[in-house]
Amino acid sequence: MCKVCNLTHQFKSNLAAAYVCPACQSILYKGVSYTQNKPEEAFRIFEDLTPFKLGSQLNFEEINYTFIGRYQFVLTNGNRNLWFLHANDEKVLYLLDQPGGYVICKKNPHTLKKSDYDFTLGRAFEFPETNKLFYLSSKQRNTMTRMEGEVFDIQSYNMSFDACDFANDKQFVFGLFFGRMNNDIYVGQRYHYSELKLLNMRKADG
Amino acid sequence: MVEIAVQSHIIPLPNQLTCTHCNSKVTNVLHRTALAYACMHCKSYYVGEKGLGYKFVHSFNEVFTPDLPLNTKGVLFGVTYEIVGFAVRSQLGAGYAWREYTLFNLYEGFATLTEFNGHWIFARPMQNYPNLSPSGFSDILQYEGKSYQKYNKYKSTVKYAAGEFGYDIFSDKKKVFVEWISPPYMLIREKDDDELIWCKGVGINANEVKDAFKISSLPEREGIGALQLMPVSANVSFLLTSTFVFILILLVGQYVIKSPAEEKKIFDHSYSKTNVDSSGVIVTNNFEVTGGKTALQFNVYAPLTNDWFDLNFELINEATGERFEGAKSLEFYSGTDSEGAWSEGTRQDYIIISSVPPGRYHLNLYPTWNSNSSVYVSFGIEIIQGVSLWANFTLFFLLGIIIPVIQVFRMYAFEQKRWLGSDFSPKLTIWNL
Repeated sequence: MCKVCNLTHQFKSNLAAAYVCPACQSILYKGVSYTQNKPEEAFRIFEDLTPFKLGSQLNFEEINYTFIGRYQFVLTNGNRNLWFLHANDEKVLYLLDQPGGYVICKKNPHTLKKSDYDFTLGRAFEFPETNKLFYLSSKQRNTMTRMEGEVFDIQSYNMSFDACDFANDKQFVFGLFFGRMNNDIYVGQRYHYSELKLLNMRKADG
Repeated sequence: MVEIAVQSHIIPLPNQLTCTHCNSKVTNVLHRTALAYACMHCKSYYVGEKGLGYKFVHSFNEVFTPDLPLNTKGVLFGVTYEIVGFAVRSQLGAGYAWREYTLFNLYEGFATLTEFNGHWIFARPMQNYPNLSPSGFSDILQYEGKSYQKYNKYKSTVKYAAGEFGYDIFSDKKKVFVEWISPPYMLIREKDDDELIWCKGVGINANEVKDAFKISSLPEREGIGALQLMPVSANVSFLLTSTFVFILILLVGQYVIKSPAEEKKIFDHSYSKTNVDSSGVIVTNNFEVTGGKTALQFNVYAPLTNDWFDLNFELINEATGERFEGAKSLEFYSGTDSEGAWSEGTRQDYIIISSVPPGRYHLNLYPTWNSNSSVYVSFGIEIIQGVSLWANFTLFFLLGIIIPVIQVFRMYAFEQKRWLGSDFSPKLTIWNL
């Protein structure tokens, strides 16, 4: 329950670390009681014309996923959403979304080796559990993170970090580099919007 | 600072941004996807700050009027785009400028429509890192079965902007743009220290732009555009292949129409002055022309020495009386001078009469000798049936290659004009057109 506005929330994902109260933006950590301290607040999501919303559904590989949370990264060259998608049997999926670009991805369990921290554009990278080379196509700075719904990481994602895009002709990798040896790698594939099986989307006004 | 709209379950209608310099309103279709906007009234330019608001960063010196009004919607390639931004850019170090329209669709994202000298290019970022061969730093790239030739490399600067943009347009001044073309397509690499973007463009006709955005007039086209297709164009390899096939068909046809087995001698006789009757005619023995309509070759021979000889003749069908006329002049001169022996003329020549029907024929010969000559030489005439008509072949051959040759020269001239605007003009030959 949110201490500030008394809204209650039932966590959907075991992976979620916190929930952002939609009313007051309080970050409510799972299993933490806020009887003593006022919870910290997340920056409120701003309008970026995404077609998705919390509660949207994606059918991917015959499994129905629900959009339960989002990070909205304010990168130096544009904004990008990382949606947190959850299926009933604790399956998890991530969807990167920026105007005209949709990447369904999974978190790579491996982190990038220290020796790979040479971010020269065009340089080829190998990622574990992928069988093709990826080329660094963009390195940006995340200057601010906004959040809504259930989120799985507050500490690392809610600060400045380097965000890199790696791509080849088939796949896409989004790398978040929080510091030496501390990184999250999302590996996925781009889709055209018409290829996504979606339900409960945002509707255009008027 | 400008207020930030809050995300809702409805995709909202356009907002309005206020220019803090002149209080004019700027239509905000992109909401906070707009990282920058420019006021078309006072030429002020604003850039987003950490997603919190916008700050004034620049004032343009000049004003340009877009040919496609801001916030006009139009359908291109089946997608409804709205024109959200307009910028005039120029190549750093070069005088010319082009106009760039930023297009936006909710689901397709951003695209650009560029106009230079009335030539239009529609471009979008590529979804993936293109699988190029070689890697993208060469003069020639192979991509999706097409060969792209490097056309331009430049940095650009912004002279004017109005409307909204998904990025800070001034960040582009650090970027190096490289363009490769394979008309009507273009690959564009935009690279600075932080980003390497590949875009694919396609040249489109001004009429398509007019129709899409319901615009009555657009700048007139000047010169040849980088991606312009030749109005009546053909692939050179197709032209060469089809010409080769045409010549092959001609040769086969020539062989089939006249097979060597049909060529045969049907008449061979020699005559002298004594054979001429009182009316000046030699009437020959008759001979048979067999098969279908055929060409007859009349070989005339006279052993001339510094003399001339003329022969007129009629070929007469004895059954129908149909007549074919022919004539041949022979002359042959020789001698020696300070440079040695010389000769000119010929002692034998031929004439062909085509489409002679089968039947029994004879010849009426009307020979003329040089009256000043001391000797009236004898002469021979030989008739070969079924000879090949190389004149017809040559005529068809020339007719057949004239169009490909003209087309190749037109394409060569067209390509030369296209590459006038490039620093990377390849050595043009018909093989790389």
